[in-house]
Amino acid sequence: MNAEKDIQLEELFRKKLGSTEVMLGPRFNSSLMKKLARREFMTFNPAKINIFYAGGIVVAGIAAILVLSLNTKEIPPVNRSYISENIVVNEVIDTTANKNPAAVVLDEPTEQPALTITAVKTAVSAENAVPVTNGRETIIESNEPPVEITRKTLEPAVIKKDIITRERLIYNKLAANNKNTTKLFVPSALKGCSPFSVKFAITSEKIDSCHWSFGSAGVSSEKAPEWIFTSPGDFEVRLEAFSAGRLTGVYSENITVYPRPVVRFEISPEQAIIPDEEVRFINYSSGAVRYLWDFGDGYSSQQFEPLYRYKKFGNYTVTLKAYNEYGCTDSVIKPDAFASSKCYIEFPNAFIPNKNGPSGGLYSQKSDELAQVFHPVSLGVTNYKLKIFSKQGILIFESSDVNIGWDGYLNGQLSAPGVYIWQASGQYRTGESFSKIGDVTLLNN
Amino acid sequence: MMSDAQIIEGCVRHDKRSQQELYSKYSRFLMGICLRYAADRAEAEDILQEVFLKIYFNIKDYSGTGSFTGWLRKVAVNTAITHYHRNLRYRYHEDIDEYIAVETGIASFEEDYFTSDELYNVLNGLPSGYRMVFNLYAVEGYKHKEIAEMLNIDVNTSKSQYSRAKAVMRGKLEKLRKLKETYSGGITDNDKQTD
Repeated sequence: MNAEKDIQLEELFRKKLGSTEVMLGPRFNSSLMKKLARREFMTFNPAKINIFYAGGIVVAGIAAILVLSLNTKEIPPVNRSYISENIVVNEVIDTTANKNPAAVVLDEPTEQPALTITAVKTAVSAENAVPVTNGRETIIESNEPPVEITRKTLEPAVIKKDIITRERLIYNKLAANNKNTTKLFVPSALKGCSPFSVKFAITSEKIDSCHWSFGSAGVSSEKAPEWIFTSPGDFEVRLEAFSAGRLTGVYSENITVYPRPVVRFEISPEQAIIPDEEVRFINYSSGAVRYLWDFGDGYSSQQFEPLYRYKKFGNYTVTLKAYNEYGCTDSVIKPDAFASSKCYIEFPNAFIPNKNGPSGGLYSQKSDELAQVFHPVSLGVTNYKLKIFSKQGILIFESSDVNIGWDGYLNGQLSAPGVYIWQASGQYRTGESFSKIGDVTLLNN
Repeated sequence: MMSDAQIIEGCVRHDKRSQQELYSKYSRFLMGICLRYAADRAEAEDILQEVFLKIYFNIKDYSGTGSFTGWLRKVAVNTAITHYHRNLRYRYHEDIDEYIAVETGIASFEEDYFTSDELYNVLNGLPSGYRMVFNLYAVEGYKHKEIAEMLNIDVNTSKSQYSRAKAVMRGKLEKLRKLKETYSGGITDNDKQTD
């Protein structure tokens, strides 16, 4: 029962819709034809114009323009006479049968290895209008005596081979012997200190594309590159010049880059008290043979490690310039070299006098480890007065030397433990004055 | 009137007149096929355009043996399948459960009870997966195995989709028949589409 139903449903559709024709609107046909035309244009069909033909026409047009533009670059006749005088023949002569290096006169094509022979011939004969560019021809030079070769007829097929061989000959010649070639570029300098920046200017306007190699330093294809040699060494800068897509010349120059000295120095002591203290300049430079110090106050020195005493305090800029054997220099500038030498005076708030008797108050950092003398720590104090009073306001001690403090004794008697008042005033070497008041506790151990 | 052989030979040469002839002779037939595989007329026209372009550019591949209309049908069906695959990811996926429950007992169909327009409408209203399987199996007469390969689905999927498609269609046709009996006059498209 069920199966019967299925068949009937299937049959209904198969019969009614299996081959039904459905009418189409008129617009469908036109849009289909448009699409068809577009698709046909994109497909190759030898019988009809399509995108391949159109593309071919465009390519042919471009090629024609290129050929025309190349033809205009044919060399002027002046150069041809020059060519005939400077020709590479030494390789050629060896292969000829007569082995006569003086002159070869050929009226007909010979059976000799034609490639090399005719290579020369083509270059020589001015009437064979072989397109040769100026740049290439001028660099053909030979140490051999020039040989004149003339030729009356030349088959076109041979010419083509000739050009290829000739180019190869020229290239080999150039590569092997580029010292003899024309100066194709001028470097702005040949020797210098690293980092060495050199500008290269090409001499011929006919070069339209360049390939530069800077030894191990890199390559460039700019027309007038400026190259910075960062590391020292010898670099062969080599230019392969092209015009109209063909190699027309190779030329190289050597650039020498010298190392620079490394400069470094320190000032000792770091917080030098100037002008009182003598300052030592410690030199850590390397790779230098000569030094020039500028102390920043108008004085200079050529010593390796000078000692210098400034006349007065100031914010001096110290410069060390070092020279090596090549004359390369480098320098280090320390602006405001004594900025850290800031003046100050500070007092402690307690001390423990020595019970064994008065010391006189003269102290140093080393002798007063036990804080037996009341004294300030200071830097750059030029003018100084210290007064110490008892609580009752009686002046007990007075000093005008920053190196002499109070030992706790008054007239040979140890003062009583307790609080004392001090007053300090004076001037720093900068000209700035100070005035301080405080109290200090005398301790009894 | 050109013969099929003349038309084919002309179309191989990309001859405009032969192409027109092929179009006027077979476009309605091919549209009939395309419409079965599409959700609406616009989609059917899209498919038909591709079918014609395929025919025009590949007519040299027609061997000459076998019927020409058979070859045309095959091109149309294959194009419809390609179109289905291409549009699969953009298509709204209908909820299948909606259609499962509508199994109704309709005994048999009188052949001329429904017009072909009405049958097209029923087909077009199906979810596209159902429609593909139903067309290929019931109308074109492919085996489930072949359909599974063509649609890149499992054989069992093809079978179950087919039975579901039938159930849906039976329900739709039953509804349509009731409508037709109730309003023995004209029926609008909207009435037919209502579920």
